[in-house]
Amino acid sequence: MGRVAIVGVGQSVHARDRNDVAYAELLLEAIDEALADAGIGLADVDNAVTASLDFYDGRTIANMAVADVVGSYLKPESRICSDGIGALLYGWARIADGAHQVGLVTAHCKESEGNLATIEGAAFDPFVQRRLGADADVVAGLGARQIYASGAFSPTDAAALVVAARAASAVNSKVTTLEPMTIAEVLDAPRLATPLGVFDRAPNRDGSCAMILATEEVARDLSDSPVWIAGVGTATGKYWADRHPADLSALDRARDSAVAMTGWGTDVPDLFEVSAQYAHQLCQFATRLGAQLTEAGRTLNPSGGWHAGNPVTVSGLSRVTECVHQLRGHAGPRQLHDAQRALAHGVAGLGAQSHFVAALEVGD
Amino acid sequence: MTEPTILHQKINLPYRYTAGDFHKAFLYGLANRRIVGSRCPACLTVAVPARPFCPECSAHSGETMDMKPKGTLETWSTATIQGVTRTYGLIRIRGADTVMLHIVDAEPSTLQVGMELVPRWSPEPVPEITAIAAFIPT
Ligand SMILES: [Zn+2]
Repeated sequence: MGRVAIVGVGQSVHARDRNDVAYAELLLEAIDEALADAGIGLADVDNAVTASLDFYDGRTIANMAVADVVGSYLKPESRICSDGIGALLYGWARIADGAHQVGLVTAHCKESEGNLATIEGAAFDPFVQRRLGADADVVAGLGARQIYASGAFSPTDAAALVVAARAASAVNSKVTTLEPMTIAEVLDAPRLATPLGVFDRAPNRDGSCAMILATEEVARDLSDSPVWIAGVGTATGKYWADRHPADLSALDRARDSAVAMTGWGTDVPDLFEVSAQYAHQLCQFATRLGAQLTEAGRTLNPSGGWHAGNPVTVSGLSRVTECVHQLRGHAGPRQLHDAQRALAHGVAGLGAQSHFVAALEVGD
Repeated sequence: MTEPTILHQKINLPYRYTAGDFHKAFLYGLANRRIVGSRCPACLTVAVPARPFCPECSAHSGETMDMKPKGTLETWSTATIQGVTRTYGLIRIRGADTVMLHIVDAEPSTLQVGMELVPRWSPEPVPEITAIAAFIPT
């Protein structure tokens, strides 16, 4: 199996409404940045894997509507209906198996364009759940009550992560700067779905992310210090109603298979970029991956994470992007000291059903 | 040209979902004021609502079984969705290894984990989840 590097990353600005661009143009912003970062052109790319969800794009087989911007005509093109970090895993496999040399991986979503209640409601089982009119926030609220009742985490723990994410948004030029907030303000906010408040859910956003993957040979040609994909893993858990929210076995599987591919042993990575749309889940997932919640805004989600403002579908790939910036030492005001190894995590599905982990490192 | 052009369109997308034997058994059970589960022939997991595949081991469900129409509350959440405030709960029907989502009609401050709930049947005997109007404390 060949070694695979990330040689270019790019993101659009993520904002509540990107009414200034259609979604393919929104994706162009990320692709242009990633190609420039890699120092190559679209013609140098030999395959593309995109991530998007038809319901959000309002068009079936919506990947066909971005085939032009990703330059996939007459090239192998695939798409996943999940988080973009899943597209990264797919793109990694294409290069690792020796069939391709340079791949483009993208994710885009405009949460502002469709009817979110309808889109999220369509995720429910149509036979025995959908008619009840619950939504994704209710699923999260049902889970949060069980997590808080277990004593593993408190609403204050979760609120502290929201506060840190909002503060980090001010030093992340790719997201909208959020109004700073105190823990008390998060806790006292109007309820979303009890016990969760409105700030426990990451803000809805429009945005995109793109990445260029390459073989070791190409990567060494393009860069003195490529970021290597040292390991990848993914697993899907049971449907939300059949899975206790404390059951993180899908995350465990994803992490274990990613880390097993690395030479890290039991060493703790230097940074973690963790996805969770709801703050109590971020407490759970970050802790389970090995991060310290007290490090929020530093070695845990220096980018601010999903709560600093990314769209669904894009969040996981956005986590990878931040890891790449940090490992290269190019994270500007957010730069951590001497980051060599990073874990990036993504999640998809109602009640966080599927998990993805990518282990990234710099050095020979 | 500074104002964005926004096109407003609507996709009308009705569906007909074929329930299959196990969901059918559950839904027609409701129409007859019965709660029907399914049992896995391999690992004996009892799932309620009845469903075609075992949530534990993925085996094709073997048989349906009638459950006692009562359960316990495992968790709940109150939310206002499209102007309607409701409390939803996950309810473990007695004898089931799984929980089911439904509306809980009770003052949220009175709810407790493990409290006993029973269905309040809708006057309409329809083969739909809404044949149970809500679960209520005993
Ligand atoms: Zn079974």
